[in-house]
Order: sequence, then structure tokens, then C-alpha cells
Amino acid sequence: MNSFQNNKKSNYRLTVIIALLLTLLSCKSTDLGVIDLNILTDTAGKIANLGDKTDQQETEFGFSVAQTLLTDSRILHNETIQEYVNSVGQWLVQNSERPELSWHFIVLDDRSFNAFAAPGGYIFITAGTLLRLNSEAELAGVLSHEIAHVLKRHYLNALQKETKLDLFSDLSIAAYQYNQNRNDQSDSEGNVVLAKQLSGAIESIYSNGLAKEDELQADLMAVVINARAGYDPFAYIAVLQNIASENPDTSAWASFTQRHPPASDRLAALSFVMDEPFFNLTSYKVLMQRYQASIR
Amino acid sequence: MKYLIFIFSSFLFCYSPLFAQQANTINNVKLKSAPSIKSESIKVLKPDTSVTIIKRKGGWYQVETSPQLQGWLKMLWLRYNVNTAPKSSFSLITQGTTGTTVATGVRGLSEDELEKGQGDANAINEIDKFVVSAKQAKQFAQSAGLEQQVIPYLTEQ
Repeated sequence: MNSFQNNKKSNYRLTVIIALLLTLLSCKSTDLGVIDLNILTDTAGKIANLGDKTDQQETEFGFSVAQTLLTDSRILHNETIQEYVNSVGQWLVQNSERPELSWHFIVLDDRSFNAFAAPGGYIFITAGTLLRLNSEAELAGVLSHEIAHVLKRHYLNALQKETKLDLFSDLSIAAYQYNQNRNDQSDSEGNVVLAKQLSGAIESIYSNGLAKEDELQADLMAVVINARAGYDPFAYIAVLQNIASENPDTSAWASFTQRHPPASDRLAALSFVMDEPFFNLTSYKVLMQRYQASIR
Repeated sequence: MKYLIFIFSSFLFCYSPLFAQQANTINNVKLKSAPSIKSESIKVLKPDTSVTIIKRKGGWYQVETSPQLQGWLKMLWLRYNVNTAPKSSFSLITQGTTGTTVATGVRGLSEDELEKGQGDANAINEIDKFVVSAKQAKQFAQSAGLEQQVIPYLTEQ
């Protein structure tokens, strides 16, 4: 038991050191003035103008958030399923506006129905969700919805709003310190405060979910990303209809229900826009058999 | 041979009323003779009319409503009945040869498998090995005949 804990601790330290190095490296290149941060005062401006630089920092920050989320859950130990879900996900992002992000699709060993994302391209889906879906097109729909949250930086913006921290600079320090605190390491009081803010924000955002507008926007984008990749966009409607028919208070659904607007509201929002762009196209795939063969 | 296998599996996957999804209309809706707006209207169904879904084709469900009247409805004008009893899986919708889907049974990843794994601080370092390249993803898509489409994002209404 002791050796396990020591091993765990030294691995934590290694991760913390790597995170620190990455943070220092990114600070240094920012200081070199590749882009003058002072010109950009508002967050939206920073996001729109920093380009690749921002993507890298978003990925680093996302890594810390994903690490936190993963420490509290379990990866499904099934390489076939993990690779299958990564294949579907990677194909979908090839049909998005941010294909170059470092995308990871992670199946969690969890019976409940849930899917969520972390900044920078980390997409999580529970095995319980895979069990309840019927086809590759339905899986693609659920992944597309989470991909949309990353494309639009919904989690990043929500975490920033919740912590009232400056995007990236304060957040990456906070993320670093947060991970250090989990290992009983100590640091300056200011950083500890930052870390507590981030820790509270992660807990709040990931238990209460994103804003309703973010969810509805992700739904609208999900059907389009699905269709662009050749998947039947109406498979996503079928998923929402199934969700709407579930008893929201059962253990498998409680967390999902807490995090999302009612599925009936989401279907209503989609019902006004689904007709025109999709009804006349015929080459969409559902791929139920490949799904069943891969998930089995 | 392939054809025979399909016929056999069609029997296996043949929908049964046991798995068929019950749903209700949420509006005055026209029951159509085919999955197309241009097709003939069979009847106008009132809101909250109970129907049984037989299969899906694109944005349409083929439904049966009493007494033994069949036709097609836009899927977004239907809501499934809420499950009162907990169920371990959705009813399956399987794909037929014509691009339509039909209702069927349960499969999959055994529930036992979900008891394994442990929370692990190093899990983040494991996930890189599952990543596939853009090139692999393209092959994966092509092998199933997935065709890229150019479609702009929708705007809220």
C-alpha cells in the first residue's frame, strides 16, 4: 500500500513538474512579445486573435482540467472500444473548424448516461451511454455535441466566468496549483486562493452543467457536424427523443438531468431548423451493424 | 450467400410489438402515405394521439395508429412515452437495406465489464495510445462509405 502511494506521489510530482515547465515555456514566449497582450483587453479579442498560441494554452489548461476529471473517474479498459470511439471522433473533427487541436476521446467506466468535454479537445463519454445508443450515427451525434462545446470554448469560458480569473494566465497558474494541492504540496497563499477558485469552478461547472444557450448552440452544431461527416443527422434527434423518454430521477440519469436543459426543450429548439437543409439528402449513413460489432 | 445471411438476420431482427416504441403527437399533424412532404395526406392526427413507431427513414417515422392505420410522420412532431420502469438499454433501432431503421432487441458491452477499472491519477497518460490520426480516421470513414457534405451551420430561430 505504501509503495503504491509513493509511486502515485512521484508520478504526481512528475506531472506537476511537466505542467510547470509547460507553463514557464508559454509565459516566456508570451513575454517575447510575439503578440502584444496589452493591446487586447477583452477576452473575446484574445480568443479571436491569438490563434495557434491560444490553442496551445487552451490545450495545456484543458490537460489540467481533464486530469482532474480523470482522477475522479475511471477509464474503460477496452482498447477496441476506445479506438473505435476515437476513430468516430477524429473523423467528426476533420469536418469541423478546429481539426488541428489535440483531440482525445475517452470512454469512462461508468454505467450512467453522460458525456462532457474539457477545453482543448478532451471529450468524455460513459460506457453506459454507449450501451444505450443504437448506431454509429447516434454516437457521432453525441460526440458532435461535445465537440461543439470545445469548438465554441463553452467550458473554457464557463470556468473563466465562474472563477473571475483572467483567461489562460491566471487559469493556468490556478490549474497547476490545483493539481499540486491535490498532492498536499504547498505554495504561496495567492496561488492557493487561485487553486481553490478553480477547484470550486470545476466542481460547479461539471455538476451543474453549462448555460442553456450553450447546450442549444451545441445541439444546432451537432446535427450539422454529423451531416458533414456523412452521418444521418436525424439519428441525433432519435437520441434526444430517447433521453426525453427516460425517467430523469433514476441514478443512471440524475447527473445528466442536472447538467442539461430538458430534452423536450432541446427538441423544440431543433424542430424549427431541421427541415430545410437535411430532408432531401439521401447519402447519410446510420451504421448500426458496425456500431454493434465494435461495442460488443 | 450474403443475401441469405441478410434474410436470416432480418428474421432475427424483425421488429416485434414488444420492443416497438410508443409515442404521442405534440401537434395537429398530417399522417402521410410516404416519407415526404409531397406525399398524400391520409389523415390529420390530433395532438396527443398515441402511435406505435415501426421504423425511421431520415426525419420520418413510419407509425401505426389505431385502428390499424399506417403512415409516416415527421419525427420531430412525436415524443416517446416516458418510461415508468427502469430499463437497462434503449430499444434498439436497426438499419435495413433501404436506409430505413426498424425496432429490435438488446445487445452489447456486458454490464460486468463496467465493474473493472479503478480511479487512477495517471490515467491522463494512458489516453494518448487510443488516439487515431486524421489519415486513419479518413480510412475508417471511407470503409463505411461515409461521404463528406458541405453544410453551413444552422442559425437559431
